[in-house]
Amino acid sequence: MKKNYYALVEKDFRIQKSMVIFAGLYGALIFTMFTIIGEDMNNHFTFVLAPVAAAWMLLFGSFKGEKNNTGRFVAALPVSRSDIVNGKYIGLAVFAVFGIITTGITGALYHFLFGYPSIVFMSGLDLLRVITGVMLLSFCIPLTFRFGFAAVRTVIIVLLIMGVVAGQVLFFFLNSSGSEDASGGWAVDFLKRIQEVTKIQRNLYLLIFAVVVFVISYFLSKYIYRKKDL
Amino acid sequence: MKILEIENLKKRYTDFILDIDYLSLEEGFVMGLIGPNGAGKTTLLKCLMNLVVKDSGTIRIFGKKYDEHEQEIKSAMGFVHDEPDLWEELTPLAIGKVTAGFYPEWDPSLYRRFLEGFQIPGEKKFKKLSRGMKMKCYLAAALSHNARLILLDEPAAGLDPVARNEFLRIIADQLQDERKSFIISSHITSDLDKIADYVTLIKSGRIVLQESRNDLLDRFYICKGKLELLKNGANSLFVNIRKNEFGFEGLTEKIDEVRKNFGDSVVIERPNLEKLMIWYL
Repeated sequence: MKKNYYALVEKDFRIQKSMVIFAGLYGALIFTMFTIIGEDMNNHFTFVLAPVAAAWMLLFGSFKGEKNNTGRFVAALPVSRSDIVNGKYIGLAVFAVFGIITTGITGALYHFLFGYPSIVFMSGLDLLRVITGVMLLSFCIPLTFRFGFAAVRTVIIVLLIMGVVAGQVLFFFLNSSGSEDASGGWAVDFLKRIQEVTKIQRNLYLLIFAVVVFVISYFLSKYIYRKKDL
Repeated sequence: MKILEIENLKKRYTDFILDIDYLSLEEGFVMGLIGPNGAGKTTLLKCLMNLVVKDSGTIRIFGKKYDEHEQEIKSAMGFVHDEPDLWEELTPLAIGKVTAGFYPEWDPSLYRRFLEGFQIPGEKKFKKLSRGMKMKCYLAAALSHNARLILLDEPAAGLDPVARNEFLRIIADQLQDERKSFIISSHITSDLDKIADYVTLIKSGRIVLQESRNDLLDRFYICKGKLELLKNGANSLFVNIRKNEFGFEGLTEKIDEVRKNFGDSVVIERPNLEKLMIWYL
């Protein structure tokens, strides 16, 4: 019997139509924002941010759409538990492709209409960064299978706040590392080492890290969902 | 043909064990699953849909092992559980489109006919429907893919008598198709009195009775009489007995012996399922 992956992914799109529209227009929103601001923002940053953000929104939208215990209804459909987990990861990949395509189309349109971005489409390195970013997003899938959407949303908000704080702390260490009373120890060393490697190396290391996160996330999701009572 | 066969099914929780030695259902029949709260009815139905993970045991549906043919088996099963949880932001029509993708035998026109027949507004968001409407929408989804085994977990709970009656009528209509079998868990045993062919009584995770409804109701009688009749070991004639200052009331399987012993001095009644459940448990 054929697997119902297509139906699972289609379901994830159908249950969040407004989010799909918003995620599809997210690239346009970002490009418009930077066009209005008129700042010479990094073009590549925009091409990476928009698809990853779109995939993020759609992944969370798919979980949010199922918060009302609809997981039970889905599990009662002709799919195995393993299929449901696989479907979620396939869905993440499809969301990323959706983000890349919509950002690509809006980016090209803005390039020809307004001159920003200055590149027509993302570079190979940008694509690698998008893949890395999307793979990193997968960390929240097993958490959602285990704790549910609401709990994970709280965790994500806390992590985002912590990320901002950590960024500020690292920035502080990096700035003060040049002065005589430099402090920070290992953090400064770590940041210096990062600066020493080439851009390609840096992205490759990050990709390897993302692959490890993705693989762990996948097997953890399978383990959690296989044992879960719904 | 046995449409369902369960052997040595076990599911352990910290404070409860579902332990089913054997349970089966023939094609085209309705099984009523009755028992008190927490007896294990919902857990049993969830095991049949793999919504809870069994610890051990074998489940065969349509003659096939569930573990090996899950997708194929589920394609021909429908499930309605007590809480009609579907995507709140979707309309019943959109829910039909989402569900359709999963079932090879999904019939969109049948689903639409169900919605019309049940008077469910297809374009209204699911969250804005009444509980009765939600249950009927859930039932429509469970009946629109040519399911041969349909599990209903407390489908009439929380419905008003009119909606409940309509719900029963829908199920009765479905029973015209002799290939369809139902397992219905319900506290409202009067509903099962009308439609169940077999009755399975569960208590503390175990089956205490499994029999055809007619045989069961033919086998047991309720007797009422004065207390003095219970002298000389007459208590042994009853499965269960209650006494008060006015007399006694007892459930018996030995109606011939009761008649022989007491003659016309006791009143004998046929129990319905509710009385039987209360007495037996």
